[in-house]
Amino acid sequence: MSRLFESYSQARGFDEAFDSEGRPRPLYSKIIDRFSDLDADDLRRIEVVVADEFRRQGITFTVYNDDAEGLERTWPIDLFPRLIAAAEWESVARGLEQRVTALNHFLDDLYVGERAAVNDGIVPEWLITSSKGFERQAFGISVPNGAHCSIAGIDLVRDANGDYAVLEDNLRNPSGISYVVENRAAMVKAFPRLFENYTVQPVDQYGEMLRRVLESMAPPSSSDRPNIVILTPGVYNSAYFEHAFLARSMGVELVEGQDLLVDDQVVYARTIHGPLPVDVIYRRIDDAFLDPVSFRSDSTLGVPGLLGAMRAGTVTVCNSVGNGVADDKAVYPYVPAMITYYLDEEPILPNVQTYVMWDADQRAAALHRLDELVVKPVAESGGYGIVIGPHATDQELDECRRVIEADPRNWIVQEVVQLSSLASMSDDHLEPRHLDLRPFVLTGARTEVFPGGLTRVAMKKGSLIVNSSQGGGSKDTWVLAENGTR
Amino acid sequence: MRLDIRYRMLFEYDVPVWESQNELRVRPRSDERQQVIARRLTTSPSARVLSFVDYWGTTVDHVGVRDPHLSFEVVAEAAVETAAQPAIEQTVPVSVLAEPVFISAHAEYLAPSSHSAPNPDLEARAHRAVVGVDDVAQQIQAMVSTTRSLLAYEPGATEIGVDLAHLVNGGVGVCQDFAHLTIALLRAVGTPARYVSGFLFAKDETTLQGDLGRPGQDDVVHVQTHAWVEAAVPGHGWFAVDPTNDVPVLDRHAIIGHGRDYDDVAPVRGVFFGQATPQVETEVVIERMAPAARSVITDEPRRVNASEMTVRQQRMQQQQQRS
Repeated sequence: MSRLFESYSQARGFDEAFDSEGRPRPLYSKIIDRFSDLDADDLRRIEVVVADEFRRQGITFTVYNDDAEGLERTWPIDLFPRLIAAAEWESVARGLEQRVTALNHFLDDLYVGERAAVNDGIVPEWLITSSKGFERQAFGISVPNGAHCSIAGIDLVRDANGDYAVLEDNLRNPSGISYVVENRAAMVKAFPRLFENYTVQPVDQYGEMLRRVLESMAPPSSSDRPNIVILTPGVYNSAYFEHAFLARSMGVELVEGQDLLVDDQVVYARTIHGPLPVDVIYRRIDDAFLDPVSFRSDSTLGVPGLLGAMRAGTVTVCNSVGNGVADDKAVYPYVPAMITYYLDEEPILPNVQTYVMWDADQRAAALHRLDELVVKPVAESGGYGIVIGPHATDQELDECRRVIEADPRNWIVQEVVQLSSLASMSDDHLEPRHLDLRPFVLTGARTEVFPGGLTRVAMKKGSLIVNSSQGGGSKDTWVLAENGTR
Repeated sequence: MRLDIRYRMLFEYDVPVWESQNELRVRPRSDERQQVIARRLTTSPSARVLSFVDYWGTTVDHVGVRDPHLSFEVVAEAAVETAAQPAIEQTVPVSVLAEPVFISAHAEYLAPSSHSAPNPDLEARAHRAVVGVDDVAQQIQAMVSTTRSLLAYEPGATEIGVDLAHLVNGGVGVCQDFAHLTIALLRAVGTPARYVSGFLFAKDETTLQGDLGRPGQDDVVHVQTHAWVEAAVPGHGWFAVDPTNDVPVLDRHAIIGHGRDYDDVAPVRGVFFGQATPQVETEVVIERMAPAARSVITDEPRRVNASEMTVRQQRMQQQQQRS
């Protein structure tokens, strides 16, 4: 092996490319061979090509911090790809499809149905009615196919044995798919030889797939070729690049709230040819800003009257309103039970071991050993507010105990998952870095899983925080075709 | 009691506005205690109205006016038959309020809401007022009395959104304030409580003590919307009290809807485009009708499917049998 691997020593947990004896796993052997032929200078040259490519495409990400408006950075990608074998992916994909199907049943049950899961004691009623994501204004708004969540991002991790588990569900506005597509495009361009020995499932068809799913979400009354738009909060949003990317790849208009209007419960886009009816809105703005009549009256981002149009059934908004109740981290512990309840199936993907803080016994046990556990606020996303016990100071842990005791509903505590790791560039050599995976699950007439997803990787040695908003990077993620290794 | 209720709201703007969008919660609903016999909603300029029943069971009318306009008028009329609520027949120990199943089912009426948020001073007052009280009905009455000891009624004294500490400090309020304060006190002692918006057949909000006047005289009153409170009593259900008048809710209260507080049942939520300063005028006219009178209000034309019609007729027949 080349000097790139010279000082490689495995991290704790599961190493995706090397077995416990340090031998390359067969899946990765050709990749490791390829990297072994190169030195740090070769990789730097490739990195420059990739970075140029991203810069030219304007692919950036905004990191919000306490100081000011936020820092715009070029999208960080590590050249060593993440590989998933076809058979392994098939099982993960079945688990994701199952989970999102159950979550959609749950949302439909709460907002349109009879609240059967609550009445049958699967999820406690108070937990629903106390969820910040439970939007009563959405009550009674039905959606085609019962698909309240058409675009889900489910965060997966692999434990010390390499088994997959669900870390959290993102059912509101999951972002990251544009990086999946652009990472691949840049890698193919900058590092074509890496692909020589593998048949990798493509990802450039995402726009086409999303368009097909959104078309299947159009109200029954709309035409064969429904008018779809993407609703963005605007250029200052951290994911604006992605909104523009999706509009371009689907060939639809990217609009802001002020570009739409509602007349007699029908949504129209203002165009130079006059108002044009809109059938499907893929919105990337939060519920609270969506319609100032129903939500924040000071919102200038949304469309006044939109909820009325949704209720009248003249337009479909994806994702629908109020999905936050199902990806509330305090509801997450109940998802496996929902799968059994709605689908009468055993969950394929398990949850991470989670303790609920409103249960006095679980709380006492967890607070006692908080230095070994992870503390998460239930309503945040993007890694904000998370405290990792083993890495926290006594002062931080005391503060955690205080806030948990004061408001147990709004915190969960989880066992630390020793995330799997994979070789990643650090200066002039490769070192293991922890990673997770966010696959995207689309639901229209049926639920489908997009191959792979966004692999997020911690940039610091030993760090378990992979969120892009917290300075994490990414890797191109390859799902191999059947017999995909040559 | 048969009441014909006419709610009228007029927005006037100094310069044109456009693309206004509104949700109206101004119509009486049908429930166990009250039956809507006929209803009609008209707007000017006229617009397509989408009516639906929201999470709380309130009938909501969604309406927008796209073209520029200088005024917007809504007239909601309803003929309703109200009945008095049943009394709480047995004593209910307050310890029953702490049963987990009861708490879980009423969580949203126990948690603080924006206009009925907790405050240590009020919590302390609430707890002092129930020392030695072991009956839920008495506890409810104690909270009404506490509210009345803290607030005097003064028309126009406050605006919606006044914070409770500020309110108590001022010592005066209107029916919404009496309701919000009572709700906060009830929740502080573990009694689920909700806000009710509706209409009160009375000369004004606070003259319930005297007699109603003879039928055929004083049959028409000009009022505003009224607000009161419902508290959950284990084994009985929701019990409605009117803290502004210190009485249990009677058959001269007609309910529009309920929620955690005012925000869930605000008569109007709306936005418009334009630089105008709106002038709002609302009036409520309630006429007491003879029990068998033919209402002057006729249903608005709408498609009613056969099964719904049957249910309505059955309900009306059941009511006639009861009286």
